[in-house]
Amino acid sequence: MLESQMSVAAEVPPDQEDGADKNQPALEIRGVSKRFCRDLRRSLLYGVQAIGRELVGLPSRTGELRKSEFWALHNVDFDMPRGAAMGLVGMNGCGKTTLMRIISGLIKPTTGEVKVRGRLAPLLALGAGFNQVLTGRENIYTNMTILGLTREEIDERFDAVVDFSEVGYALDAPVQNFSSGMIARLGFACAIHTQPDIMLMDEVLAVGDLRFRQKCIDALHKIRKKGTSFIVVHHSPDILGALCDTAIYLVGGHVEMAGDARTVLERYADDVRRKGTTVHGETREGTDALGFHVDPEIESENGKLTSITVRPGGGVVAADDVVLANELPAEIAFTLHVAEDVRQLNVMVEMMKLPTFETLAHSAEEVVMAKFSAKRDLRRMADVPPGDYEFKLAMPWLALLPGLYQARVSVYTKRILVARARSDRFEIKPLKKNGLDNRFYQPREWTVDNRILSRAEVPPAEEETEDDE
Amino acid sequence: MSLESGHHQVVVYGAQSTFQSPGQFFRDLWRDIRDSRKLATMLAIRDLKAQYRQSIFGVLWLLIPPIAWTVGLTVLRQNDLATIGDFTTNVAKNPAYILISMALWQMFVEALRGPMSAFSSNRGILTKVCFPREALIVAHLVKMSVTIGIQFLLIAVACIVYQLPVTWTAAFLPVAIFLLAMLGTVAGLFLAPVGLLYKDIANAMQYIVMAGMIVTPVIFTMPDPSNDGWWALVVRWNPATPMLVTARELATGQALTLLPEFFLVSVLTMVFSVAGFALLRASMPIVIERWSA
Repeated sequence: MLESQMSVAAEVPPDQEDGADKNQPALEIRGVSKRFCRDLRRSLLYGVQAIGRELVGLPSRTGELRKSEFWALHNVDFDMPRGAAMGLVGMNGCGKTTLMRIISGLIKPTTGEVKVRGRLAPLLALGAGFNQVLTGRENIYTNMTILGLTREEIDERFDAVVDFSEVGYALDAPVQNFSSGMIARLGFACAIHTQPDIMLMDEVLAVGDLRFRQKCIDALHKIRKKGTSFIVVHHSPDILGALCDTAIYLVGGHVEMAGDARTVLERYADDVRRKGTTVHGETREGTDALGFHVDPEIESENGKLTSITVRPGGGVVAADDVVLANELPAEIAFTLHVAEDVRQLNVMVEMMKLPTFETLAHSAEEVVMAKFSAKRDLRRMADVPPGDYEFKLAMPWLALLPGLYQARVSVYTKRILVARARSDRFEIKPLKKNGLDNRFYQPREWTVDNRILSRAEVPPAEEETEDDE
Repeated sequence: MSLESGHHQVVVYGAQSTFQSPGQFFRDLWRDIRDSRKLATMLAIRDLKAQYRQSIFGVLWLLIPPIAWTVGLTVLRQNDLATIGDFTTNVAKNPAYILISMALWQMFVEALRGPMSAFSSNRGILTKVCFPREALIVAHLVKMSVTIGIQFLLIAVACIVYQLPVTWTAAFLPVAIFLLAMLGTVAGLFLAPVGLLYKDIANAMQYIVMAGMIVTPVIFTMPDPSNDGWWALVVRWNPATPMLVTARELATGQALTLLPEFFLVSVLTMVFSVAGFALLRASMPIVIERWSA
């Protein structure tokens, strides 16, 4: 019995079940709020108070926030129809995981209520409850028992689980010898074979290789046809777009947008792209808005990068809204402050292409599209006394794939990294449409009878990039 | 429940206190304890397997602690050192008798620690999956019964070797042992909610156990209030005293000296066990929230 913790409020009588039950949503979320406390010590104190109030049957004071508290969720309200596939997106710390925990009955909402119809399988972490010392076989049995299956049911499905997880060859090895991919596969296989009515997945599709991810997506489509509904939390709008038909976008604990998956996801991807790392100041250190790891800025007693600017080249003064286009000149300028002598200075500039909605299908990681090393270009490097130095890397024309970029500048003395920083994000737009199968942007011209065919002097206009997608 | 009957059960997770509808609460509690036997057995087997797979002596570790205690105490007693109370009777010097005392006490301590250790060692699942958490307590009781069962095989051998008489009263022993284990578990259940939030109780546990050994007649016989003063009164009013003494008297076929107290504590234990389970059930979401936030 999985949904054990709270009261079974109403059992739908069988006679009403046929017509009415089918039309009732699998999940009803009504005015759910949850407050958390930032201060651990205070949070423990509130916890003891809450236990006390529970015991005497007093409702907790729910209206207001106490000291150090904040709303992790605020008045969240939605239904999930039976058989729906719903994506849940939002920046880090917007309350996605909290909502999943409340729906799965792990924690109680501060106000409001959640109605769950049917057996629910929460997949909030793959392999939760796997014992490291026990074998894969033994862990399948315990895991599925915890998820609410009887021994006979597990016996029946055991082969299917092993088949799906592809760990048959290691079934009798202790799980501590499994790779993280194997554990992920086993965890997913166990959960999906419990045949739940509702499945919750929190970032679990992020583990494992592409092929397995595809397999999971196929399996989810399959169980959905049998009437299982699910909520998927994933940072990639692309995967959600492939899986879901509705989506919910949470911002700061409230529902910012809900509805058709495509519309909601596009809005989310747009916000991510536009607002970058500073969206609502909620991103965690070391990750960007999409949750990817970002290398921190580095400075040392030797040197510090004080500014990095990427701007159109050829003497054009950069406006606030930097527009760079392929086939046009560009330059990267940066200032290096040297405090102590730097011997054999080397400077490296990398053009990092950032993941966006369109590219996530191929890669969720940023990609180094080009790397320029001063040492390689110039053969030898000088020793540099203290002072401020203005560097400029001029590029006669850009030929990179269109997309969202950052320039990363690294400064080395001999081979030791002394400073590293990134520019703001900038977009490189294509002057001519760049096909998706191109690996880079090739500047080009067409002629007929020696007459150049041109589109006249079209500046890289807005609509140009939009129909490029 | 409704899963078997083929239509969807509706579960509501709300903000209101769980005790606002006590009838429903206790019905659900009883259902979960009853339904969790299979899960509990599975968890107990998992823990036992995992616990002994990484050791050479394996299950022998169940026997080593009471044997070690017994050897130590036997040496002390036979040299008339560290004796408290009346040791004129030979039976209290019998190693088999000491072994029984130590096994029972160890089990009581194990039961007392049980709820807290069961929950904190399963933190990983508790924060990710909602399942009948009572199963962890039941699983702990199952593990303890395996332990005590194996220990009593050793005790049986010791009784034969050291010629400790065993009478028909030993047939009631399992009931007495169960009640002793329940007493420890109930005390543990009341400590658990706060003990899982604050580390203080876990830190204090070893001193609590040490103090418990001083006020429970484990390594000494019942003190006489007229001679031993207030300490004897503490021992007498200690709820663990009648449970442990009666279990030991049943095992060794002695006269049952604390029978009324035994019955009183047994009834109170069963009553408070319901309260203890209820307390734990109501407080776990609050604890889990602080574990994972």
